[in-house]
Amino acid sequence: MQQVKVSVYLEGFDSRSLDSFKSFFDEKCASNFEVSTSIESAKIIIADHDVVGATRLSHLKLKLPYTPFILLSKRDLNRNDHQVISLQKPLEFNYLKKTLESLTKHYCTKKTMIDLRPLLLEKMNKEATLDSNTTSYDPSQSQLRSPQLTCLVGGESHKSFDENNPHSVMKIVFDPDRYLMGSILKAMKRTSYEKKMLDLTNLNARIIIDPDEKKIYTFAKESVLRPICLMELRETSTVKIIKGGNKGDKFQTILREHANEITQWSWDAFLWKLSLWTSRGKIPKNIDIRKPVHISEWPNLTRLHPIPHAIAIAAMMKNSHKTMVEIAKQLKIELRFVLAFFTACHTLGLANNSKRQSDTLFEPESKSNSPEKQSLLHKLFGKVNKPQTESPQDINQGVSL
Amino acid sequence: MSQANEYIVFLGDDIESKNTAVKTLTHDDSMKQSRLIKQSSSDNDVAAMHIFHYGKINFDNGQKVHLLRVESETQLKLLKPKWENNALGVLIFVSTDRESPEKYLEDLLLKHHDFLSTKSIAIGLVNPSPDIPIDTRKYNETVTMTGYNAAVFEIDVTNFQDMSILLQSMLMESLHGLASA
Repeated sequence: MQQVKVSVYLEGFDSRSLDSFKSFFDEKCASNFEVSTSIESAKIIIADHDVVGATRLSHLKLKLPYTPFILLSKRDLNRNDHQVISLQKPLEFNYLKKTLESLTKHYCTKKTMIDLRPLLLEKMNKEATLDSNTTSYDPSQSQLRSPQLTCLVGGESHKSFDENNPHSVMKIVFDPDRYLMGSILKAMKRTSYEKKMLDLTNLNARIIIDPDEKKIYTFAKESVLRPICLMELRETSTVKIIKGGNKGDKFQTILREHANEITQWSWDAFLWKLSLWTSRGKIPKNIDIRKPVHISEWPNLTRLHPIPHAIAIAAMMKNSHKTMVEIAKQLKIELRFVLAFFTACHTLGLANNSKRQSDTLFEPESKSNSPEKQSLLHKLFGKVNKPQTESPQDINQGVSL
Repeated sequence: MSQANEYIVFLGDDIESKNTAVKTLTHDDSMKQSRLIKQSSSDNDVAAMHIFHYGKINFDNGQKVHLLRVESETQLKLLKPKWENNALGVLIFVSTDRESPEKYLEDLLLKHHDFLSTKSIAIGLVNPSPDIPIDTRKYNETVTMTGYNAAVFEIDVTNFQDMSILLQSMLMESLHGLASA
């Protein structure tokens, strides 16, 4: 991989001095540094104090408060304060080299990141609040406690959850087979195998599953379906085959007769929401909360109902092998969001417990190790992270026919 | 001209989608002006910057993230070696109404492997017919088969939320789950 060079801006030097610095960087510093043509993008500034003068230096410091300076002078300036180091001319190669390396280590990485982050986050939050046409949850807003969200991820924050306490674990698991969800999942499995359109009814909820176009048709509003998903089944579902499939007369007649009440879904969008409605921030009983989890691929989040922190959770489940409790702790978010996201992904067949030993043996190497770069990433993330005030139809989840 | 602090590469031959995506992300309708090409500069780096640069996201402290559009192998080569290490990541745009979009994605990932393999990437499938959902799983298979770890989303490049999710996923991949946020 290409070596990362630290750019150094030289202020107050003539062309011959510039050439000397270039030679110094190439020959004595193993090309770890390079002369920058832009003061704004430079990581370190070396200034000839005797030429530049105190006024100009004050101006530069004001303009670039986070950039470290090396001041050169024939006199002993005796000035080694915050991010400013003074060296007396003539310079010793080794001493200058060590000074540059020291500044690179301390100021071009950690200091810059720490100093910039609050500014970055502040700006991001400000812009996010201003955006009104968005569909993501703002974690700082009270909507995280709203009834609408509770219907999807539950209302329990599980702050006192103890994964080693069976009573505690029982509170965060559910059995999909006891609900409409389990019945629908079985029917979908069957329809995928038999390639036949199925008409399923239970608890007065009717659902048609189309394996050819991977569509689901429901006959009730979400406000009706949602509570039904929480009701335990008392009898097995009635399942009928629709002869002729989606092109057949029977299905076309159903479409005509129920045109005003039918909602059409993609399989994934329906399963995602069905899972959220049913689980409400719980995980299926066959999942071990104490074992690490992973997702095989990112869910198509742009076309699925949003879950707070879904992108951060997805990135962590994809790139590391941690337990859900560890993920919640590391992201500093409520456990219910991780549980809800996992269950939704699990229902789509994307998530499960990690079973391979190799999954937990090594921590995958991050592609972006530079703290400076990470700082900027945080900033960018905040900039594009917006609060959500969506309706499901806005994001193409359910299309009323 | 000040040099880029960091940059995000917009890759893929669907130029219109990339243009619209930048407009959506930056809310910048003056994008055409910012991508005027000035190749007369003797400084190759500056010239290359003019060629690619077509948008930026500004921050209060003066830092910027430059959005660079790349179409060709030649342009990508120009990015190397000096700026390669300043890339935050790469957003790849694939129009699904093109011929063999999965093959196109596979070829693109393999062709630019040297550059992309060290970057965080996210892939946007631009669907010109939103009524017909895209099966993202076959594209995910392509990504996995070619040795990458990237998010794949169906996107509408005019929709800020879609673009935001695409960009956030790329950033999150880089941050490894925003562990220190």
